[in-house]
Amino acid sequence: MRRPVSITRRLAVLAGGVCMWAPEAFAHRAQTVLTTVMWNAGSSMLEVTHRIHAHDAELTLAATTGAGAVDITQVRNQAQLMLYIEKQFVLKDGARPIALQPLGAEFEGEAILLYQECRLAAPPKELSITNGLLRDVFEGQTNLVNVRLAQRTRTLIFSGDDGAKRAEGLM
Amino acid sequence: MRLACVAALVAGILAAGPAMADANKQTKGKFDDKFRQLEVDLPTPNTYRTASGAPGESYWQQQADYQINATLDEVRKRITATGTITYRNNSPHVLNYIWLQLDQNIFKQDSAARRMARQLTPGPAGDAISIGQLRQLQSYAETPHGFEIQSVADGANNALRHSVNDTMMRVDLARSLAPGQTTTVRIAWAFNIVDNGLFGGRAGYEYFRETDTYTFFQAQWFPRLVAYTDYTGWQHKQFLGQGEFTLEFGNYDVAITVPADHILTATGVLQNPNDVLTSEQRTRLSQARRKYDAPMYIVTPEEALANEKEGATATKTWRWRAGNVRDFAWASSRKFIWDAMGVNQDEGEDVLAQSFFPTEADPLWSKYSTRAVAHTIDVYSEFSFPYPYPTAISVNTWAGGGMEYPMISFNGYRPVKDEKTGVKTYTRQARNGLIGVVIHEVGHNYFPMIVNSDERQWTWMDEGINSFLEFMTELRWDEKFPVLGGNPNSLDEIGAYMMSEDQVPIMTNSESVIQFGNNAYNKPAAALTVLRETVMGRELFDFAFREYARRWKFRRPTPSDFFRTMEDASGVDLDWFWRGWFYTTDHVDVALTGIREYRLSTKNPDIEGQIQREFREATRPEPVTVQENRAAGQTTYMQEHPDADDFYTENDEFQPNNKDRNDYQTFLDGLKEPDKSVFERALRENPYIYFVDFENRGGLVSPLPLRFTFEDGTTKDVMIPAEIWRVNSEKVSKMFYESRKVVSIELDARHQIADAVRSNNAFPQQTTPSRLDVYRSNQGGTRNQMADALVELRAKQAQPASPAAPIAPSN
Repeated sequence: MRRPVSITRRLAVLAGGVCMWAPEAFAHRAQTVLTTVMWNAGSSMLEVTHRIHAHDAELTLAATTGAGAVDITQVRNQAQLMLYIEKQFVLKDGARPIALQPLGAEFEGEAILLYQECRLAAPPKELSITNGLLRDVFEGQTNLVNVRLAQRTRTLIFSGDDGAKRAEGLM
Repeated sequence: MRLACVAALVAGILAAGPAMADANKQTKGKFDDKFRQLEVDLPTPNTYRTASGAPGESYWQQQADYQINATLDEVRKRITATGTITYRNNSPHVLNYIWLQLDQNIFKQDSAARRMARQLTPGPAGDAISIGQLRQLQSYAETPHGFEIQSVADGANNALRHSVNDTMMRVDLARSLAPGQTTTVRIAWAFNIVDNGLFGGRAGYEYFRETDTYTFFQAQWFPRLVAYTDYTGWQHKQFLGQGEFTLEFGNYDVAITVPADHILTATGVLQNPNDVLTSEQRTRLSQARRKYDAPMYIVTPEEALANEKEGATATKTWRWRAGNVRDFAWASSRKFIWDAMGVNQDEGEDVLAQSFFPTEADPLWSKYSTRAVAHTIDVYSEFSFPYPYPTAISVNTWAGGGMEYPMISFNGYRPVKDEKTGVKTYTRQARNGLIGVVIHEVGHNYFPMIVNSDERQWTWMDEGINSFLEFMTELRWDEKFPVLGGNPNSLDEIGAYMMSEDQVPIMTNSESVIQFGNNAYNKPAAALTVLRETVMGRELFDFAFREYARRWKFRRPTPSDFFRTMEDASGVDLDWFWRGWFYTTDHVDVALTGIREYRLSTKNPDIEGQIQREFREATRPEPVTVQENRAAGQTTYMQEHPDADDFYTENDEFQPNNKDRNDYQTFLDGLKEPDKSVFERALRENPYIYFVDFENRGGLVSPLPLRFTFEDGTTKDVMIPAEIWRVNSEKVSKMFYESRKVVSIELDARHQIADAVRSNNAFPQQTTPSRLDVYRSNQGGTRNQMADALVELRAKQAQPASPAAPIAPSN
C-alpha cells in the first residue's frame, strides 16, 4: 500500500534563513500589495501593475536577499524586487504560463509601482493567478488583484492558504 | 440587535437582486428607487436614540471604574496584577451576571482565532512552513499565553462563580444588580507577555537582538468589562482579531511596578512624579508644557542610550489616574527617548503632546512624531470638539503599523541602518508613513476613544470616519501629502476598489468584511470627502459633523445616529447618499453620452431658410462622384439643357414662399404678452442651447460637476445635484442655455465625485492612456537602467546556487 504523499513529503521551509515578520497591529495600514491586471486593447498588451508599499518592499528585499538595509530608490534594488516578483507572481492562460516582461518601476507617494507586460493576440480566456508577493515575509499579508479584461472588474484576494485562483466572469 | 439584523438583511438582499427589504416592493417593472427613504431600514427611534440622531431622554450607558496594581517581571516577561472593578448599572434592567473581555486569550494555543487560522502557502513554491511559525510552535511548548485568572471575588472577598468562554468570562453576581446599583468585583490575574515580533497582535514586547534590550507595550492586559447596550444587550461577539473593541467609560487608578531604570508612559496623568522622575526630568517636563513651537527632550537620545546599557534590579512604582476613558494602556522601557511640547487650544485646556521611542527610531522620531501629535489635535479639534484629555502620546513599538488607545498610541516606522557604516537614514516613504500613522492613531482619540462607537460591530464608524479626518489633517500638513495609494486625492484611488464585484457594503459586520482596508477605511473616507466637498458643501457638512461629534462625545453612537444627525443638522436629505455609498456596492461611473447644440429658431422663413441651407452644406458635402465628374470635365444634362429649367431649378427647398411668410406673420400676430417679450428678448440674445445626455453606468447616483469651456477660452463650472437622477437613475438629459458657444464639456474636472471611469467624462471624447502607456512615454529615449540591472542580476543568478539556497522538498 502506498503511503500518503502528504506524510512522506518533506515540508519546505521558506527561503532558508528568512524570518517572517509577524502580523502587526493594523489599526492603520493593512499589509497589502495591490496588483492590477488589465487588457490594453489599443496595444494588445496584458498590462500588470504591482503597487507595493516602499517600506514593505525594503523589508522584503532585506529578508529574502539577506541584505541589511535596503534602499528601494536604488535601481539595482528595484531590479532585485522585479526578480522577486517574477518568482512570486505567476499568470497562466489555462495551463500555459504568460511570459510577463518587466517594463520598469516608479514611485508614487509611499508606494513603488512595478510594471510588467505581455503582448498577446487576445485577452486570456482562462486566466489564473498565483500571488505569493510578500506572503513569505509577512504573516498577515493579504494581496488584492484587480482584473479587468473588458467591462467587468473582479478582485482576487490572496491570504491564508490560497494558492492559484481563476479569474472568472470577466468577459 | 435590531440594527444588526437590518444590516445583514440588506446585505443579503443586495446580493439577491433589486428587491427591497422593506414593505415596499417594485412588483412591476424594474424601477430601482435610489432615493427610497431609509427610515424603514433604520432602527425605530426610541427614548434612548431619537429620530434626529441625538441621545434620547432615557439614554444610558454603563460605567466601569478600575483600580489596578500590576507588576512587570522583565526577566520572565510576565505581568501579575490585582484589580478592583466597580461596575455601575445605569441600564433599566436587572443584571444577574456581568461579562468581562479576556482579550489576551486570543494568544492561547487553543483560542478560537488560532483554531480558525488557515495555513499560509507562499505561492508557486507550494506547501511551506515559515521560520516564524516554527518559532511560535516552539514558544508555546515553553511558555503558555493568555490570561491566568487566579481569583474572582466580590467586594467582601467572597469568591464568585465564573466561566470562561474563549475571550470572554461571565461572572455570576452574588446578588442581582438592580438599575442604579453598583457592584464590586476583585480579580487577580497574570499572563506571559507575547513577543510582538513573533505573535503579532496589538501589544506585547519587542526584543532588540543587537543590543539585547526590550520595550514593553501593554494593552488588552486586564479583564475589561464587556459593553452592555440598549441596542444589543451584552456585546457577545468574541475577539477574533479583526473586529476591535467595544468598551465602557470609567475612571482608572493604576499603579505599575517596573524596573527602576525604566521610563513608563500610560493613559492618564502621572500622580507621583517625585518618586519616579529625576529633578531635571521634572524641570524639563514643566518647560515642555509651555513650549508650543517645537518639542524638547525630557530624556535626550544620549541619556536614553546610556540608560539602556544599565540594568536595574530595584523597582519603582508609577501611579496613574485617568478620568472618563474607555481603556488603559501603557509602555515601559529603559530605552526610551522622551520628548514633549505644549498644544494650546482656543476653546480647551492645554494639552501635552509626547513621544517615547528607542534610539532605533531616531532621527526620524525626534523630528516628526510629537509635531504630528500636536498637528492632529489642532485639526481634529476644528472638526469636532476641543481635545478633552491632558495629554496625547505616540510610542514607537514596532517597525510599521499603529494601534490606538485613550491618550496613548503605539506606532511604527523607523529609519534604516546601513549594516556596514552604521549610518541611519530614512526614506520619504518612512517619513510620510510615520506622520500618517501618528495622525491616524492619535486621531482615534476622537473616534472611537471619545465618540465611543461599537468597533466590534461597525469598523467603519471609527476607522472610516477617522481615515477621513486623517486625510483632511494630512493635507493640512502638506498639500501634496500622499493620503491614499500615493495620491493626495483619495477619490482618484477608491474607484478601482469600488468597481470590483468582489466587495461587500460598508454596512457589514466587521468580521464579515472582505477587502478590510478598502471597505472600512478608504471607502467611507472617500464617501465623507465627497459628502463634504461636493454634495453638502463645507459649511453644512462641518456644522453637522461637529454636531454629531459633540452629541456623542463620551457616548456610544450607532450608524443610524450618524446618518440621522448629518441630515438633522444640515437640512439635507441624504438618504440616497447613505443608501448608495453605505448599503450597496455600486460605484460612481457617469458617462457623458451625448451633446446637441441648438440655436433658437426665429421662425422667420427668410432667415431660417438660409440657416438651414448653410447647415445642409456644412453637414452634407458634395458627393465625391460629383466632384470627380466635374474634375473630369463632365457636365450634367441640366447644364447642357437650360430650356429644362423651372421654378425648382432656381429655388432650393429652403427658399421661402409666400405661404411660409404668411404663416410667420400669423405666428407673430398671435403672440401675446408676456410671451411676445420673452420671444423677442431671446431673439436679441441669440443663445446657444445645449441638450446634454448622461448615463449612470456605475449605479451610484452622483452630483454632476460640469466644466464648460467656451470658444473664447474661458470656463464655467456648474454643479447639478444628485437629485436629477430621482425618477430615472439610469439616463438623464439636461438643457443648458449659454450666451457663448461651448467647445468642450468635462464631467468631474476637479476629480471630486470618485468617478471610476474617466474616459467617458468629456466631450469631445478624450482618450485615457493606460498607466503603462504613460510610463512608457515618460521614459522617452532615456536608457533603461532597470533593464541593465536585470541583465546583471540574472547573469549572477545563473551561477551555481549558494549554500544558503532554500531546502527543496523531496519524496
